[in-house]
Amino acid sequence: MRRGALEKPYSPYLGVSSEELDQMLQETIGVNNALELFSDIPDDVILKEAPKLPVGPMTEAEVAEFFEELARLNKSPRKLISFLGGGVRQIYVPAFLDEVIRRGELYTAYTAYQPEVAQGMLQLLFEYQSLMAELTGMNVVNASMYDWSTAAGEAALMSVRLTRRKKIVIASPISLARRGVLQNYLEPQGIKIVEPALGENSPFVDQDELEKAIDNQTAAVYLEMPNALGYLDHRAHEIGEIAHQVDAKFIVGVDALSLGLLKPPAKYGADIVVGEGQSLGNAPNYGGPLLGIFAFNYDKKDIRRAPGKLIGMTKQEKTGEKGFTITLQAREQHIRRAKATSNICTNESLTAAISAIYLSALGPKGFKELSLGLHKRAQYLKKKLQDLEMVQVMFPQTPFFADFTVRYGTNDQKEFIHAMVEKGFVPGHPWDFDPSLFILGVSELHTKQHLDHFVATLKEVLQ
Amino acid sequence: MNRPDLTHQARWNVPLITEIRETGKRCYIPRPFEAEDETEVAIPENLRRKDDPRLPEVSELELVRHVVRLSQMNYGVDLGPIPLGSCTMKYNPKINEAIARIPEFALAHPLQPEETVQGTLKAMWLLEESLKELTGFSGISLQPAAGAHGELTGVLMIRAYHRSRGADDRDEILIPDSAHGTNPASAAMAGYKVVEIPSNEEGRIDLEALEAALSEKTAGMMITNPNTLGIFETNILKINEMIHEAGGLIYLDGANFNGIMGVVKPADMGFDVMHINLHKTFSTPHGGGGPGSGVVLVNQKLEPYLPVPRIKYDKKRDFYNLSYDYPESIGKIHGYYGNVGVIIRALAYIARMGGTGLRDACITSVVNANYLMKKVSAVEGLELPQDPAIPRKHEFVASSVPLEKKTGVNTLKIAKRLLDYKIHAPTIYFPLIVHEALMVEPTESESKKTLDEIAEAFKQIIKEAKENPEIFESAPTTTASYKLDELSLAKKPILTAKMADDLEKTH
Repeated sequence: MRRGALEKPYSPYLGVSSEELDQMLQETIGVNNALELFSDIPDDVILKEAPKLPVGPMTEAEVAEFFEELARLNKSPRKLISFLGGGVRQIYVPAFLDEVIRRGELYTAYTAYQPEVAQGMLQLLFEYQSLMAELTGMNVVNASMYDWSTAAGEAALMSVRLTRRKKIVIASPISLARRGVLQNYLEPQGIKIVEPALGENSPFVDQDELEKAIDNQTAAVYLEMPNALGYLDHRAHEIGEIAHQVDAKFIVGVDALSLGLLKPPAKYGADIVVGEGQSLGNAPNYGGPLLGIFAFNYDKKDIRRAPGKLIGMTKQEKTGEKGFTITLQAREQHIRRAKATSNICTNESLTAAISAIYLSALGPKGFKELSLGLHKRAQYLKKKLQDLEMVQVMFPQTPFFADFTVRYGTNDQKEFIHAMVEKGFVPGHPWDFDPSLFILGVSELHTKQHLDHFVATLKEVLQ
Repeated sequence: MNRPDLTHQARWNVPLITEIRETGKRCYIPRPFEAEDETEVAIPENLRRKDDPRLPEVSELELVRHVVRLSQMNYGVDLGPIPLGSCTMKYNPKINEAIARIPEFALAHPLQPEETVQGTLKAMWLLEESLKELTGFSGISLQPAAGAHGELTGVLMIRAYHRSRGADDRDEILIPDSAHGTNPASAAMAGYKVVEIPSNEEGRIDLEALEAALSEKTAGMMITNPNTLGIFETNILKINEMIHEAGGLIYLDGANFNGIMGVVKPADMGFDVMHINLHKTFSTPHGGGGPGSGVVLVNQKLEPYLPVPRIKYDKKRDFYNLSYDYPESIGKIHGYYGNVGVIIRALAYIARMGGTGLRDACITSVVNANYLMKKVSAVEGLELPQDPAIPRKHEFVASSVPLEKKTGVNTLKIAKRLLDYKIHAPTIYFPLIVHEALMVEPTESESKKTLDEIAEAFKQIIKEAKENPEIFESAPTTTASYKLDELSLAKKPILTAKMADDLEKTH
């Protein structure tokens, strides 16, 4: 093999050549060989040569080809129409948005601890906080959490700090995954999670059970709108009132896209709003990066109990012009260490910035149209499915946003899903607690033709 | 030679986007639904939104200019060096960005059936296998979304391990005083008391203090190695043995993995669990604060407790699947499987580098750090609080105490002046055990010329401190913004545009 470039196809990522390296070692550092700098690592464990990995090294063209081949192992989104929601959705990313967010000044930046050289990202995050405040109706939004589930965990922890109580009541059916995350965030603190049972033939928790569960030991009541089955609980306002009667906090979890059509949770008494914001301009990326929304109402004392970064607007000392910086950092881990309100450091800043740009692009009309368009696609699909004998639309009178639940006339769910996939459709996803139920979600990518074709295919496959 | 660059960063007057409202203009128009007119809204009035959110109304060009102008008021690795210690701000390869955007990867929904995402699952599995090989660990989870999230996951596994053995009374986690703030915060979130272990004069863990702290209460210890001073814990084998003998497990904070990658495997040193920040060591962009990825690796002791699902490869069927069948698992730590977009980028980097490339990257980063340390420590006014004869790994910590004593110019002022020189400040006032600390990590990406420029900038700044100290009162002055009034902000926080409007109205 030729020596040189082929020997080190990765050398473009190294700032110094082998010749420079030797010169730096010998002339400045004063050692002969780079490995002398590792002489303090015990001999028994030091590796004599580089580990052998299953991939690489490759040239850039080889890497590109390698990933094109990997990508081909996925079903192309052009050939697979998925009816999946649950807060995360397939979306169209506007070309201008992807172009501007690829500015290296933004995405290769560090966290804005030196605000004088980070005004761009700081202003975008401040705009994100401002726009998300408009969506939720709350007046403070932090600069992001990892995702809906971890934001819900942090909201519960904040409620515990505020009330000094140790019980969280879950007022909605929630996914097993979200339940698992909550468990890991709460159980180590000795916080009890109480889950009242669902009502009979209902996608909501039973009223009596709920009222029994909420008492003066309750730190917070957590409601999802829409819930994991897709439905909107008409008692939202009332549940908030029950929580407030015992001075518990009312946490509401939302799918951000629904807020073009649905009442902002602030209007029905939410103290903390959490949720998923991925679908506001970010591709789903097989479930991450996502955007954990965390919003609450300003109170001078309470804000010091809140988790996550907060971006504030202030003045430049010299000129009085506006400027932005991270504020109220005394709550955070790099200052408070074991007493911090959360351990979060790296968050999802770039996805938050993307969401701010996307919401600015939609404007009030576009946001409403998008929200409404999803709802109408789901309504249309529901109506068409109700006409099919082999499909039972569950809870047909219950309002939903863009996701709803059905039962397909099949005993072999696995085979059914496979058959549908072969024909180019993902027919929803099975409910964690009853795999005979499927939760269907629509997206902006769905056309009437997609929906009609899906219904026709179901008819064929379920025959 | 290298004259400092005192030219100006762009400074635009960019109004808040929220100020451009009610113009009737459109930017992104969602795809309409063809059967919209024949479909009703079926949501009761009491759940429906009455007033539209007050969002901006701009044309596409206006919004493009808004963001591009803001980008010019921001500083990233693509513009200049960011020698932030423990942050590993290396180059973010552009091919990785292109790969992550391939629609088959980017558009995949996390609830799609396994058979439709074999490429993504294979990419995740390949990353897992690569990181296992690099670290010597046998188990891995890609689920944690950031370093601190990985720490929480790791400590929760340590907790599950002890509980499964009925050792509920082990309620202490030991952490050196030089540790990152996330370590104690994560241990506390996992329900542990934090016991701080002092460092010795060399900047290493004090063995006597460790011995004294270990007890039947010890659940484990969190160690950063190389530590935040860039110094390798020479006694690590002994330390880990002591902790194991006391019945504790050892967590490695992998924030500094770049300094030993491919040269030593953490599992070989006796660690039980570690996290790796893909957004540091594996070249994925930091995004101005995130997203990151804090994958966790474990040895066999902790494998049963890894989060679910785990990726399994069925060789016979050549099929990758997500398995939940681990009854002792701690369960879920993220809604889905972690930041897959970041995971794909990291695999692209590994594919480019291979084992030899990663080892070369580590060695180069260590040479760069030691080279820069020699140059910086030769500057009068700066000193190395730890023995200069100890080779540093990928980073070093200097102190400005001598300069501060002589001129009153401290580390914060140096950091702000560096911004004027088009160099991002190093990590400052950390680790806490060093007074006036400047923690510098140049990474392997930076050239010798850039390292020389950084050293020269320090030299110039110290000269200014002696000759012209008033410069520091206003520095930085060539940046997108002057110094900000942080004090009034903390007293009366303005956190949204509406808060700013309301405040204006009351005045």
